[in-house]
Amino acid sequence: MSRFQKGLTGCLIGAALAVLLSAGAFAGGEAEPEIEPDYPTRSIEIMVPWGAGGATDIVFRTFASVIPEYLGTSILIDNQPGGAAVPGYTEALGREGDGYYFVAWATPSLTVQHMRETPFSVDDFVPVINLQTAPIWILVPADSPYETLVDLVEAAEADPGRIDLGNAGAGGGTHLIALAFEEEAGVEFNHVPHDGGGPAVIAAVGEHVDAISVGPPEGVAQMEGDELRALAVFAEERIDDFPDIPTAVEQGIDFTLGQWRGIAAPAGTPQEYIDHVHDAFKATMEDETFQTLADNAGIITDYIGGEEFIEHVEADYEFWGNLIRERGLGERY
Amino acid sequence: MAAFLQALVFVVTPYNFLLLFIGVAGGVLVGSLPGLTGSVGVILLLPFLFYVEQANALIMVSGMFCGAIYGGAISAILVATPGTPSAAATMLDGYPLAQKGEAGKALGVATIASTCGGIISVSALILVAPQLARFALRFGPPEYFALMVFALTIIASVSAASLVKGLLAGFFGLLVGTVGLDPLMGYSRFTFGIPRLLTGFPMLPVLIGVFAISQLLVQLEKVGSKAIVPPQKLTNVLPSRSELKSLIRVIVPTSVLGTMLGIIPGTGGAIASFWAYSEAKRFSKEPETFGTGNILGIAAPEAANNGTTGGALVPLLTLGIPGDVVTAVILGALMVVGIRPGPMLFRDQPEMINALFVSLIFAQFLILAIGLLSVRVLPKVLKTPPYILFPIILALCFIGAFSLNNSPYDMLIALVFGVIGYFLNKHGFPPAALILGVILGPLAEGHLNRTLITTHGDWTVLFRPPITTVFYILAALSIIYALKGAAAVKKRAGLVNNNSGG
Repeated sequence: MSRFQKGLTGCLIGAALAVLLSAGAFAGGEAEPEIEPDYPTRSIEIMVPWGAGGATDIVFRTFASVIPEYLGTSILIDNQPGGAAVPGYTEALGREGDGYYFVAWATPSLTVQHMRETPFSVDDFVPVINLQTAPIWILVPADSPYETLVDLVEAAEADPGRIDLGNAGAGGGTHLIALAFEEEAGVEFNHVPHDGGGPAVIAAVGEHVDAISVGPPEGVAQMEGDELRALAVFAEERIDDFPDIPTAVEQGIDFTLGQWRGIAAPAGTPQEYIDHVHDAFKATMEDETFQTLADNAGIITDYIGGEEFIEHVEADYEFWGNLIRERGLGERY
Repeated sequence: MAAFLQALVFVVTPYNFLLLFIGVAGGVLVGSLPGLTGSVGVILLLPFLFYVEQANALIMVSGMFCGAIYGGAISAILVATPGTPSAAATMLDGYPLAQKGEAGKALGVATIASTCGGIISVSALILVAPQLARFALRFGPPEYFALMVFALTIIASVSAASLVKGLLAGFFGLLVGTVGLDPLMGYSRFTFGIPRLLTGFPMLPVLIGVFAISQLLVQLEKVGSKAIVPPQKLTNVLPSRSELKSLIRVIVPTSVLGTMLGIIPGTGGAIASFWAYSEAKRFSKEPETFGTGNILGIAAPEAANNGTTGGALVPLLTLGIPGDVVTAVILGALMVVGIRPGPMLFRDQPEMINALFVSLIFAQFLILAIGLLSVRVLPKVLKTPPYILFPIILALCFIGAFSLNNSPYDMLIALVFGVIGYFLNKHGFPPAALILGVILGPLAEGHLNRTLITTHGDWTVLFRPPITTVFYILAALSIIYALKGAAAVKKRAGLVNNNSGG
C-alpha cells in the first residue's frame, strides 16, 4: 500500500468514524436542569416524529415564522419521521427536559401506544398546549348515490362490510376515527387503507372507493371543482370556512371526533419553562399575522391549555385504548 | 393570447426572472446533492415564500421543481452518485461515459435530453391537461398493480451480464422493501423488536449507499495503481449532427412516455426513467453497448424524468391532486401562501396559471443555459485528486442521507447498503435491480392489497381489461425479450470459451 493510498484510506475511515461518532453524540450529553433566570438563551427544538411537509409539520412551520416575537427565541423543527412515530419518541426519551427540547404530541402519539409495545409511555411526556383540532370529514364522488350521511349508513346496514370507506393509512387517525364512527352508527364498512390523504382523495375522485374519511384541507380543491361532495364533518359545529357541510350530529348520529395536535415536554421539564412555552404559543395563536397564515394553510386552531389539556390527553388515551382493544387492532392486545 | 403575453411580460421582469433563476439554480444544486430532492428544496424555500407575492412564490417553486429533477443527472454522471432516485438510471451509462473521459459530452446529452423532455411535457400540460387527467383517473388498484408488475420486468433490462444475478438482486430489493410496518394492518415485519426498524429502509439512504458509497469503495481498490479518471476531453462536448439524429429518435418518445407516467398519480420519475432506459435498450441495434457509455442510455432516462415534471403538474392543476411526494409538498407550500391549486385556479386566477406556464417554459431554457455552461466547467471536478474528492463525496453522501430526515439512522443505512452495494458490484449483481425492487415492492404490495380489499378477495379483477391487459402483454413481451437476450449472452460466452479453449 503506497503512502498516498494509506492517506486516502485513512481519510475515508476517518470520515466514516466521524459520522458514526456524531451519530452517537446525539444520544449523549446529560446534565441536571437548573432554572435559568434569562430563559430562553438559545433556540428551542421541537421534535416532530412525522415527515417535513406533512399535516403536523406544516402546523409547526407556520408557528415557527411568527413565534420568535413571543418566545424570545426561534424554534427549530427536528423531523424524525417513519415507524408510526415510535423511533422519534424513543429518541426523545434519551433527551432531558431542560426547556430546550419539546415534542409534537398528537392523537397518533397515543394510539400507537395501544397498537404495539413502545419503549415510551404516556407518562414520559407532559402535555403543554393543544394548538389544533383537525376534523375528519366523509367525502363521496360527486355523482355518488349517497346524498347524506344517513344514506351511507343505511347502505352499510343493508350490505354489511361491502361499502368501501377509504382512509389515509392503516391504523392512522382517519382509519381509527372511521372505526369509532361505525361503532357509533352500528354498521360495518369495508376499510381501504391508502398511503396518505392525497392517494385516498385520488381513489375517491376516480370512483375506486364508495367514500373516504380524510381531514381538511384534503378534498377542498376537489369539492370546489365538483369532483367530490362532503356528506358530513365529525365536529361539534360546522366549520367556519365550510358552512354548507353539515355535522353528523345534525343528521341524527351523535358522533364528534377529531385529531388534535399540540406540544408536550419531556417529563422533568421545570414548570417555569413549560409555562413560558405555553404562553408564547397561546399568544401566537392570537396574533393576527399568524391567523392569516393559519387560515391560508387551512389550520383550524383550537386552544386547550394547562391542566385541561392534560386531562383531555388522559381521557383520549383511555378512549383509544378501549376502541383498539375491542376491535383487536394492532399487535399489543 | 393577450393573457399569455401579459404573463410573459410579468415573468421576464428582472425581479421575477431573478426569482425564477434562483429557483432553477437552487433546484439544480439541491438535485445534484445526493439525497436532497425537489421536495427538500421546496421545504427550504418555504420561509422565503412567506415574504413574496403569490405569483412570485409560484414562479420560484416551479423553477425549483424543474431544476431539481435535472440536477440529479450531474452527480450521477460525474461521480456515480445519483442525486435523486429519478437519476439512478442516468448513472448506468452516464458514469461509464464520464470514466472514458467524456464527462462533458455525457452532461451535454443529459442537458439536451432534459430540456426536450421538459418542453414536451410542459406543452402537454398547457394543451391537453384536462383530458389527460381524466384518463389517469381510470387507474384503479388493479391497473396500478399491473403497471408495477410490468415495471418489475425492467429488472431484466438492467441486468446486462446475468439474468439470474439480476433477479436475485431484484428479489433482495423486494425483501428489503418489506421491512417495517405492513401497509395493510400496520403490523411490524422483520423489525426484531428494534424501534428504528419500524421505519423500514427508506429508499433514499438505500439509494445513496448502493450506488454512491459502494462506488467509492470500489474505486478505493484502484487508488494508487493508476489514474482513476482518464483526462477529460473538454472540446466537442456537444453531440455531432449524426448523433443528434439518433438522439432525437430516442428523446421524443421517451419524453412522451415520461409525461404520460407523470400524469398517473403515484408513479414518478424513477419508474419513468428506468422504463425509458429499458425501451431505448430494447429498440437499439446494439443493446450490448448499454451500460458502457451509450449516449442513448443517458438521453432516454433524462428525457423521461424531466418529462414527468409537466405530467405531474397535470393532476395537481386540473384536479388539485398531488401525484407524488414533490407535488404534495408543492401543494402544501402553495397553500401556505394562499394559492389553492385545483380546477378553480383556472377559473378564478387564470393570470396565475399563465404565469406558471410561462415560467415552466423559461425554466427549461434556464436549465439548458446552466447545463451548457457547466458542460465545460464541471468535468474539471474530476481532476481533483481522489484523496480530496473521495472524502468530500463521502461526506456529501452522509449529509444527504442525514438531511432527508435529520436522522443518524439513515446515515447508518447508507453505510450498510454501501457495503452491500460493494459486494453486489464485486460479484456482478446489478445494484439498479436491487433499487427497482426497493421502489416497486411496497407499491405493488399496496395496490395488490387494495385490489383484494375492494373486491373482497376476487382476484380476477386484477385482469380487468383494457388497461391491465396492455401492461400484462408488455410484461410478457419484456420477459420474452429478456430470455432471448440471456440466451444470446450465453451463446456469445460459449463461443468465447470455445475459442479460448480450442
